Amino acid sequence: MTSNKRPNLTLLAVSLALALGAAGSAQAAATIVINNLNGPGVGFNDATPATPVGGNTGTTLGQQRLIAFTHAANIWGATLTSSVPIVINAQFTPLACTATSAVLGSAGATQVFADFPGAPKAGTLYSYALANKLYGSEISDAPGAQINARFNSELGKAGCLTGSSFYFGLDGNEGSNIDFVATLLHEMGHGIGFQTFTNGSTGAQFAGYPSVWDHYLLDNTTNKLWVNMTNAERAASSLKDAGLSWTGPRVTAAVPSVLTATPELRIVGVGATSAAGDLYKVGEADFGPKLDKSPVTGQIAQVALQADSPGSACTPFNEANAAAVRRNIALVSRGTCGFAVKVKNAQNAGAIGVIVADNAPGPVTGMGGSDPTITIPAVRVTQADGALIAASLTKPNGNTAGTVGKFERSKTLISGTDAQRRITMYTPNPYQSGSSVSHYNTTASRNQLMEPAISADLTHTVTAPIDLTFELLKDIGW
Amino acid sequence: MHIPGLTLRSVVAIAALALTGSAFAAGQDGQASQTVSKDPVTGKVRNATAAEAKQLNDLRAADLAARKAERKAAGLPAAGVVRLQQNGIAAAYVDEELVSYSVVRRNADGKLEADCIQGKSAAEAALNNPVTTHSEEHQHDVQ
Repeated sequence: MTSNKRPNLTLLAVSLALALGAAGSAQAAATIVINNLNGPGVGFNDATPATPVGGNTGTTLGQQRLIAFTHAANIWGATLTSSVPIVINAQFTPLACTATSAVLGSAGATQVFADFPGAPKAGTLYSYALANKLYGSEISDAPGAQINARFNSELGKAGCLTGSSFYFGLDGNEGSNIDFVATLLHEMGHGIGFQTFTNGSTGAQFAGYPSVWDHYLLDNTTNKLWVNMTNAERAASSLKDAGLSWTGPRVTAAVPSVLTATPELRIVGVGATSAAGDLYKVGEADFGPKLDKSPVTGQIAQVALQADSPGSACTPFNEANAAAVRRNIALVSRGTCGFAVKVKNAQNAGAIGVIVADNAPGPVTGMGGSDPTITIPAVRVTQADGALIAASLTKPNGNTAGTVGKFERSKTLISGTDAQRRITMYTPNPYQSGSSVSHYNTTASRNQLMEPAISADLTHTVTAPIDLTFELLKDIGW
Repeated sequence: MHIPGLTLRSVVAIAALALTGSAFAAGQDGQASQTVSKDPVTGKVRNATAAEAKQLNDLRAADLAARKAERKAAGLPAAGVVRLQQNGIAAAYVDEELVSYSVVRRNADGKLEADCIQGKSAAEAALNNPVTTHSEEHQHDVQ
């Protein structure tokens, strides 16, 4: 191994990860070397006393940082296979922050390489750690760490996201703090290859070469791969909602075992325009039960605006509304009060489910909020779809004609994927510098480690059937 | 050569100009580059005017120069420039604008919202200006 260790730096941790999978699976092993760049008394060497937490046995802040860092490195080390050690230059250092926001940390590859023996694709950029693996030895004539990682040493102090700090436990029980291990797993994922180096905003290739990612990014509306596009075409495809698919075979094969079927609302009965029923896209709620394979079925009853209520379903239902929704699915409008308030009022009136119709144009999204006492499912539809559903009903306070709704999971569509069940990438419009393209789509469910937002419900797993990160890395050569 | 993405300064400038289209202009290396902007009113795009394209290019040039100067001052080799190693392998250094940053904000309801953002300038800009509007459960509106 060639170490880039600088003079007077101490190599504090060497993580040798070796794991045997289930019978028949390949042995994975990669050595991750954590190169501690911090000086005495700071960062990894901070001697501030700390209480062991969540499986982290460190008794100083510095020890806990290093143990948590090593834990995350071990997860990757147990997953990846490489004969060349992966060196990470790591440090805790002051990074930009305000009282209510902070840069937690960063990680990224230090160099990229193309046209080397062992490269699966010619004329294509590979990140340093992956290039080393494929090349089989140190590839650079200017050797150094493959990844640089920096994390904020001031987090939680006055003026730096005051009061919220890193949770260095290894068990994912971060509570109201920030799970350091999950954050590091995500950023390390980028460092070892989960990113394109091509600029999604301009479409320009880095250093004049396509990235290996660009061979797998497909505009599913034009059926062209990024590697075959002009700059203008790449930039345009970066703005197409759910329009950029990952075509790698490993990810695609794993999608059905990792992601859940798409939730949907099927309208049947006299209100439907076809015998099979009309399907509507829906957003799910943060609160209440998730939709499962057993549909929730009931007649739909529109809730009328009450004189005592500032908005649809914002106060306990009057007698007429309660009679309409009892044992039925309530159709309410968004606005004025929280989603959870509306659903709870419908539940108290005897509804078995709730459809919330948006009050403004836009794509369908989910519903935030929380109320652990809610026991009925709720879905959200667009304003236009809500109007269609409402128009199919015959009475404002009831539905004797029989328009029936079914909350169900699709038998063919999978969340976060295209019609061919390929996962889509995060491509909001307008372009979000830094988040677009090099992350999975946020519509994927269950939440994925490599979505742009680091979800509170993430586990520390990077492999299927929990997570698709490693499958993508295998697609590009890991 | 890498054409850098918009920095905060660029974004602000574009907002002030109310750019409503795609700006096709020569990049720093003479290659064609493209910036797609969205009209905040109509949501449609149009080609930038010559003046808008020039201002954008000037901002890019300044940003690129600043980043080059930072790397030089730090004793680092130039990023985004291909060098041919003695063994014939093409290599390039990666700079801060391709590094991934985790940024966290405390929302009005007290909850923390963390995002992964590529590039130092975009990450620091996001401290005061949330850039994401994720359409998934943990980011949803509550009413």
